[in-house]
Parts: sequence; C-alpha cells; structure tokens
Amino acid sequence: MQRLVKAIAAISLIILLTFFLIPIKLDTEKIIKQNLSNDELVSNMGLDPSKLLHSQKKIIKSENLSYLREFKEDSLIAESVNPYLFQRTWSVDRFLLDYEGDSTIDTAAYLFIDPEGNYHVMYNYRFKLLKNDHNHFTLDFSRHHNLQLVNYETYLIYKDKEYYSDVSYNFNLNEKKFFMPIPRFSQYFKYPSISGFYHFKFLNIGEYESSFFSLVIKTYDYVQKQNNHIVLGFNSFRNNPNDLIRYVPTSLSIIYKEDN
Amino acid sequence: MAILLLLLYLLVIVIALFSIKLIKIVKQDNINKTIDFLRKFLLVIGVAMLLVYISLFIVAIINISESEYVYVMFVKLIIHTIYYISIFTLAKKLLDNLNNDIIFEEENVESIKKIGSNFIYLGVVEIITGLVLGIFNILSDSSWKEFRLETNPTVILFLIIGNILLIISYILKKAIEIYKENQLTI
Repeated sequence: MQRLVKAIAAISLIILLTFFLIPIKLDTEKIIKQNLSNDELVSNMGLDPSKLLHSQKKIIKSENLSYLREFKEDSLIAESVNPYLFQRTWSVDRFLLDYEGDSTIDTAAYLFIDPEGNYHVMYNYRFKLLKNDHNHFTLDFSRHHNLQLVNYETYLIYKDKEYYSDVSYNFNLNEKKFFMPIPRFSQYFKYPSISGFYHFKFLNIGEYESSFFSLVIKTYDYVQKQNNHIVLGFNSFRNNPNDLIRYVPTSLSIIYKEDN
Repeated sequence: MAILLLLLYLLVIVIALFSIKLIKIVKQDNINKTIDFLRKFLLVIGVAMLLVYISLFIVAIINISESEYVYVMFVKLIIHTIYYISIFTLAKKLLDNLNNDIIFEEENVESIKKIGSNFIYLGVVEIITGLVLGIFNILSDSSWKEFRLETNPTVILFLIIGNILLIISYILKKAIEIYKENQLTI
C-alpha cells in the first residue's frame, strides 16, 4: 500500500512539474505585431510607446489625434466627508468600499484632440489575470460634452507580447459604468496579465466653449476578502457573505485648459 | 450539486445517530453486543466515507481544469481514500480477532501499529499538499505568494490519534510478552 501511495505521489508530482514547465498555451497567430512607424509617431508626440498597446498607436495614427497630456492615478476624494456615515446617492454602496486597500490595477489616461476639436480620452488598465470580471470604472464629467464610446479592446500580455482576445459585453452607455472584461483563460501555473483600453470621444455641444475639459475616472478594484472558515466538529462558521466583497477605489482626474 | 449536498447531510445525520447508539451500548458493558454493534458502526462509517469521497471525486473531476489547486486536492483525495480503505480493513480484522478471542497475538500489534502509522501519514499528506502548492505558486508568477499550509485541526487530530494508536500497539506488545512469560511459568 505504501508503494502505491508513493507511486501516486511521485507520478502526480511529475505531472505537476510538467504542467509547471509547459509553455503558455496562447495562440501565436493572435500575437499583435509591433509597427515601428506607429511607435515613432507616438514617440514624436512625446508619448512613451511602451506604455500604449499596439492597436492604440494604430488608432492615434489613423484618426490623426494630437496628444495633449497623460494623467495618472491621484488621491481619491471620498464620496462624502465621512464615507462611513454619509454617502452620495449615486456612489457605490459604502459598505463595499475599502478606502484603506491598495489597488492592483495600473491605470493611466491619455488626452488627445482630433482635427475637429473634439477631445479623445484613452483609458488604459492592466492587472493580473483573475477569475472574475467585476473590476470596473465610472466616468464623471461636465455636461459640456456628449460621451461617445469609440471602442474598447482587451489583450492578454505574457512576456511583453500582446495576444488578441475576443471579449465583448453589453453595457449601458448612460450608466457611465464600464467593466474590464476578462478573457477566458485557464492553465496551471500561468498567470498572464490583462491589459486593455477604452477609447472615448467627447463631442462638443455647440453652445459651450470647448477650451476646457474635465473628467474624473474612478476605478473599482474588486477584492475578494479572505474567507475565514471556523470548523467546530460538523458545525462551521463563516464570514458574513455581505461583508466579503470589497472594492478598492482609486481616482484619476483629467483637468485640461487649452492655455495651460 | 444540491443532491450531493443532501446526501452529505443525510450521511452526517446517520453517523451522528449511530455514534449516540454506540455510546449507549458501550455503557451496557456487554462485550458481544458491543462488538456486534461496532461491526455495524464500522460498516456504516466506511460506506458513508466512501460515498462522501465519491461525491468529492466527481466535483474535483468536473473542475480539475480550473486550477492547479483542484488537481492537488484530487490527488490528496486519492491518497486519503487508499489510507482510509486500509484503516477500515485493519479495523475489521481487529474486530474479527476480538470476536474469535484472538487477543494476545502479534497480528493485532501489527494491525494497530499500521492503523496508527496510516493516521500519521494522513496528517503528513495534509501538510505536504499545502507545501507543494505553496512552493509551486511561489516559483510561478502567481498573484498570491503565500504558503497554503494546511493548519486545520484535522492535521493535529490525525497526528494525535496516530501517536496514541502507536502507544497502544506497544502496550499490547508488552502485554503479549508478559502473557507468554506467564504461560511458560504455568
């Protein structure tokens, strides 16, 4: 019997090791190829080409966008003075927010302007592959513009290579809440990153001056809290399920004035 | 899944009822009756555990491609099942010997020793599975870099039961020696 157990343990360890050493099973045909001329164009604009996805550079070139400024994560202004007591009605449920937590999502936003004078915002995000697709962000902007979603794309990133992934979901543009879709991928011990972007166009409303642009993007990083499970014989106690899910909010403000 | 859960609840209730009955019968101090009941008890526990493990096997196989964690748990289930089958077979053998008045025999010492060792191995398997997962996840680029060390009370329970059974086996061994000496003296 001991021999049988040893044999099973040894075989399963070898299988586990094999799974560990197997290269990632990503379709090489779906690798997005780098276009050096696009890189050069972006770099001449003052942007770091390594920070943008290849398809983004292509869009910048094809739509003849002029780069204005890059915006990074800044300090979060809570939904109220005391977020644990009061909240604004449109905020995400206060019990679900963890203001102290560290977000695992890298975000950045790039502001562009097109030849017609419309502002374009490219919002980039990157995080480790997760099993859930609850990460999302919201947009808050003045009513001087009309929002238009141009497109959104998500890629799997592994060893600095971009792999195209076909993900789509239905959303309501009026809600101004956008999810970060997760491509279906599961392989033992392989954890590619997910990188994607949303491309928004802000159309001018004629009666307002368009020299000023302001937008606040709030990102909500979904965190599944550790599930404490206390077992006493056949009885067991677990965390209150309503208290398990938390989002770590981060904020990114885009404020731009043409003279500035 | 709901059916499996219902099955699990039913088994737990049956085991609980049998355990209460066992305590009552042990209190009566009737050896033959107790041995008879212990046999039934062993059979119920054995079948119940087997059913539980089969249900777990089904759930693990369905989800095995999901993550390496399920794979390791599946292997752990196989090893656990082997040890449990061995423990139940040996326990049945002990009961048979007790029923046939075969008490002071080396065979019993070996059986108790094996059961004790199996319990210790069960504890070791629990710890090793946690370590294996932890090491592999640290080596790979996982988002959670922590040792999934199993620290649930069953590990400690397995080790304590194993040790106690090993002690009992040595007591029985000593008893056999004394018994044999007594036989020679007479």
